[in-house]
Amino acid sequence: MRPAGAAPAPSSSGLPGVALPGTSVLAMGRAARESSPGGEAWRRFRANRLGPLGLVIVLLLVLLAIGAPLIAPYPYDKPDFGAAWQFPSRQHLMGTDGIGRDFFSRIVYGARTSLAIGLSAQAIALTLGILLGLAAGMRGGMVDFVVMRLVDAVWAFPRLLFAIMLLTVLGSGFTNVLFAIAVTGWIPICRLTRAQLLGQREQEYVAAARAIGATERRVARVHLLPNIMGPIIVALTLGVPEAIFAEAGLSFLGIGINPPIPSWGQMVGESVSTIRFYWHLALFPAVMIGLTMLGFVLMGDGLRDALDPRSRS
Amino acid sequence: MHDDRRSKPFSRRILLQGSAATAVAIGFGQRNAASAATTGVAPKREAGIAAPELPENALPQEQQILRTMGREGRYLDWSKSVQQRQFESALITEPLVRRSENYELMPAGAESWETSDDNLTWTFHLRPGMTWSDGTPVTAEDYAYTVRRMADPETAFDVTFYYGSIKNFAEANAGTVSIEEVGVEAIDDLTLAITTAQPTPFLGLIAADVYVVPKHVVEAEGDNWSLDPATAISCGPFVLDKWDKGREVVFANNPQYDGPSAAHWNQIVYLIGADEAVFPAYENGEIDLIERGYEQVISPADQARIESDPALSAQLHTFPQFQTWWLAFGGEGTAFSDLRVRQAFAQAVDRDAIVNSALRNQAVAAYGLLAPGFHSSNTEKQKAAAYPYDPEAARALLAEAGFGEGGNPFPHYDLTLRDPSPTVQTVAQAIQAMLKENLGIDVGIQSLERKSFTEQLNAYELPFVLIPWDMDYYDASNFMDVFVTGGRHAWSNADYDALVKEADGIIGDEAKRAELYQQAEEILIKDVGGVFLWHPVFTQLWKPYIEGPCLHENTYGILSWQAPEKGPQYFCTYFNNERPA
Repeated sequence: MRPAGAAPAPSSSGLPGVALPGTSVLAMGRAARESSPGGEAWRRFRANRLGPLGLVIVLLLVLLAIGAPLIAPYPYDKPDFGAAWQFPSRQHLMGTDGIGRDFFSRIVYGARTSLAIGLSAQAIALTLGILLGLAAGMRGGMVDFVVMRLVDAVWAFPRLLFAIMLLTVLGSGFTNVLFAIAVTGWIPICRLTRAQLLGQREQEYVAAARAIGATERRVARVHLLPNIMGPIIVALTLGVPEAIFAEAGLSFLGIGINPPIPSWGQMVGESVSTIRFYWHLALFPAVMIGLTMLGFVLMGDGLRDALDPRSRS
Repeated sequence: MHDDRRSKPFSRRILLQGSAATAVAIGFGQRNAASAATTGVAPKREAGIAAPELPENALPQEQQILRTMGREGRYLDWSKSVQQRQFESALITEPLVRRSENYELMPAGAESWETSDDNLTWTFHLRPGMTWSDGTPVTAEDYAYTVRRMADPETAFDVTFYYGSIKNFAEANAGTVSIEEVGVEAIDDLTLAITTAQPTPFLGLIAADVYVVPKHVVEAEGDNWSLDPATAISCGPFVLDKWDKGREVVFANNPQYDGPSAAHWNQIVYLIGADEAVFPAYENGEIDLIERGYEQVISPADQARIESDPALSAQLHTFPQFQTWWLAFGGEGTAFSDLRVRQAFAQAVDRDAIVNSALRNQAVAAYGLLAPGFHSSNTEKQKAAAYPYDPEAARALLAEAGFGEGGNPFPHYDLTLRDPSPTVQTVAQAIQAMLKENLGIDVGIQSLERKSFTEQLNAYELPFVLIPWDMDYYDASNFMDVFVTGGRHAWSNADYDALVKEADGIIGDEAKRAELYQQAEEILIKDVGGVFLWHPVFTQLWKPYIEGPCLHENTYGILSWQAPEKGPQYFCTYFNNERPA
C-alpha cells in the first residue's frame, strides 16, 4: 500500500503500487524538479483543472487583441450604409450593425479595448497599491494612519457609482474610464500588501535579515516583497475581470469608451432594444464579455491554488 | 359631418358622488331607464349611461374596455408637471379647447371665443352646466387659477416658456411681478379673459394646453390631489377609477360629462410597463393599442418583425411626425463661427444614408426646420436652399477656411447628445464616420443626461450638438422661435429675427405669415443655423377591431392616434363586434 496522500506513481509495469527500480529513479527525479517553487506552483495550477482552461481562454483573447489587424476582415470603424442590419453570413461572420460596419471586426477589435482597460487598470493598481501598501505596512504610525484613512474614504463609495460620478464630471473616453476604474482599483492591492506585510514583518527570517544589518529598504525589497507576491498576483488577476466588467458596464450606459472605438459593453447597450429581432448584435458582445470574465476568473482561481499559501489545505 | 353625437338627445343620470350615499336619477331617457337609484359609498358606474350611442356594429357598452400600456408618471396633472405627468391625464380634465384630427381648434371647456380689436385679449365663453365629479360647478376662476398655478414659481412647473405669450406669465414665474398680475382673469363664472403681451394669433392653440384643475380641491389637498381617485375629481370625459401604483391606471367613463368629447369607452385601462414590454404585450393581445410609438417603444427590430408578418403589418400605422433633428453649432470662439466651416459640415453629412441605415427608414430626410405638411412649410423651397451632400465641395470649403492639409488642424470637438436612445447613438456614429471620411475630421461623441445637457446648451457651452424639436402646436412660430437670437442656439442672424418677429405678430393674413416664415427659413438654411437631417416617422399599432369616425386620414394625409392632449382619437373610437372574446 502506498502511503495515504502520495501521488500515484506512473508505473511502467502497469500495476499500481508496484514500482520497478527504473521508474522509482524517474519518479524521484521528477519530485526533485517539482520541488522548486516555480515547478511546485505549476503543478498545483494544473491540479486545479479549470485553471489551465482559463489560461487558454486568456491566451486566445490576447492573441485576438494583438492579431486584430490580421484577423479582422474589415476596418472596425468604416460604415457601409448600404449593408446595414445584416444577419450573420459568409461575408459578415457576425452580421453588420445599424450603419453597416462588420460586426466580427468590431468584436475582434473590442478585445483590444477590454484587455487594454483590464491590464492598464491593474498595472496602475499594482503600482499605487504596492507603493502605498508598503509605505503603510513598513512605516506604520502616521503614514499608516493617513494611507488607511484614504483607503477607507475611497472604499466608502460604491465602486461603480463612484466611476459614474467621475465620468459624468470628466466626460467619457478611454483615459477617463481608465482613471475612474483605477482610482478605486488600487485599494484591494494596498490593503492586501499591508496585511501581508504585517504578517510577515515579525517572521524570523526578517528578524535575521535585520540582525545582519540589512536596511529597511533592503528588507522590503529583497525579503518581504518576494514573499508576499503570491497573494498579490492572485488579487491582480482577479481584478482584471472586475475592471473589464466595469468598463463594459460604463460603456453600456453610454458614458464609457468613446465611439468609434469598439467596446463590447457599448455594443450590448446599443443593441439591447433590438435583441428580439437583430439577436446577433447583442449576443456576440455579451458572449465575449462572459468568456473574458470566465477566463480571468478561472485563471485567477488556479493561480490562487498555486500561489496563495492560505488556500492550501 | 361625421360626428353626429351632438345632434342626438342626451339624457344622463347625475351621480352625486363623495359623501352622499344616494345617487338620485334625474331625467329619463331611452338608455338609462334601467336603474332609478343606486346606493353605496362608491357608486358603481353603470354601463352605457354617459357614452354617446354606439353604432350598430359595436360591441355592447360594458365590453368597451380599451387597454394600452406605457411608463408610469408622478402626477395625473399636466399643470403640475409635463415631464413627470402620468399619461393620459388629459382624459380627466377639460381644456379650454381641444384639437381636432386636423389640428384645428374644437370647443371643449369653452363653447366659443373671440379676440379684442387690438388682438391682445382673448375672451373664452365656457360651456354652461359643467360640473366637477363631486358636484361643484366648474367656473372660469378654476381656469384662471390653473394658469396662475403654472406661473407660480412655487409649483415648479417645467415648461413655463411655452405659455410665455401670456402677459406677465414669464415675469410672474421669475418673481418680478405678483402672480395676480398674470394676464388671465375670470370676468364672471362663465367668462375667461386671457391677455397677451403682443398680438398672438396662435394663442388659441396654446389654450388647448390649459387643463383645468379644481381650485377648491388643489388648495385643500396640495399637489398630490391627482394621485387618489377620492380627490382626483374630474370634469372631463373620464374619471380616475383606480391608480394601482406600478400596475395600472383605470379611467372610467364620466357619466356627468356632457361636452363634445364624450367617449364610447366604458373604461380605458393604462397598464404600467417598460418600453420593451409594450410590443410583446400587444402581440399577446394584452393591449389593443400602442399609441406612444415614438418613444422607441417600437424599435427598429420590432419594426422588422412587424414587416415580416402580414397580419401585424396591416395594423401598423406610420406617419411623419412634425419633429426635426438637426446639428447645431457653437458661436464665437469656435471654428463654427465661420460660415464656410458650417457649410462644409452641411455638405459632408449624407442624410439619405442615415435615414436608410441607422434609422431604418423610420424617418424622412429633412432639408429645413419645418416638417413637410407643417404650418408654413414648403419642402421645395427648403430643398432649393439646402446645400447638397457633396464631400469634395465640403473639403474645398474647409481648406478655404484654413483647415485641413496645409492649414491648421481642426480643433477637437465632441458631438454632444442629450440622453440618447440607442438609435440616436448609432446615428451619431454615422455622422462621426462621415466627417472622418469626407473631411478628415475626428469628432468625439459625448452623451449627457438631460439636466446638465440643458444647462450647458442654454449657456451656449456646447460647440456641436445633435438635437430634436417636436411640435407643441400647429403653427410655425412653435419651431421658428427656437432659432431667434437669445433662443436655444448661439447662431444669430438679425434678418432672421426681424422676419420671424414680424410673422409671429401678423393677425389674419396666413399667406403673408407663411411667406415671411419661409423667407426666414431660407436664411436659416443658407446661413447654416443648423444642419437639418431628418423628421422621424412615428409608428403606432392598433387592433383591426377598433374603429371610429375620426380614425381616418386627416387633411394632411396622416392617419394617427394622438394622445388626448393632441387629438380626438380616444374620444371617437370603439370596438366593433369583430373583436375576439
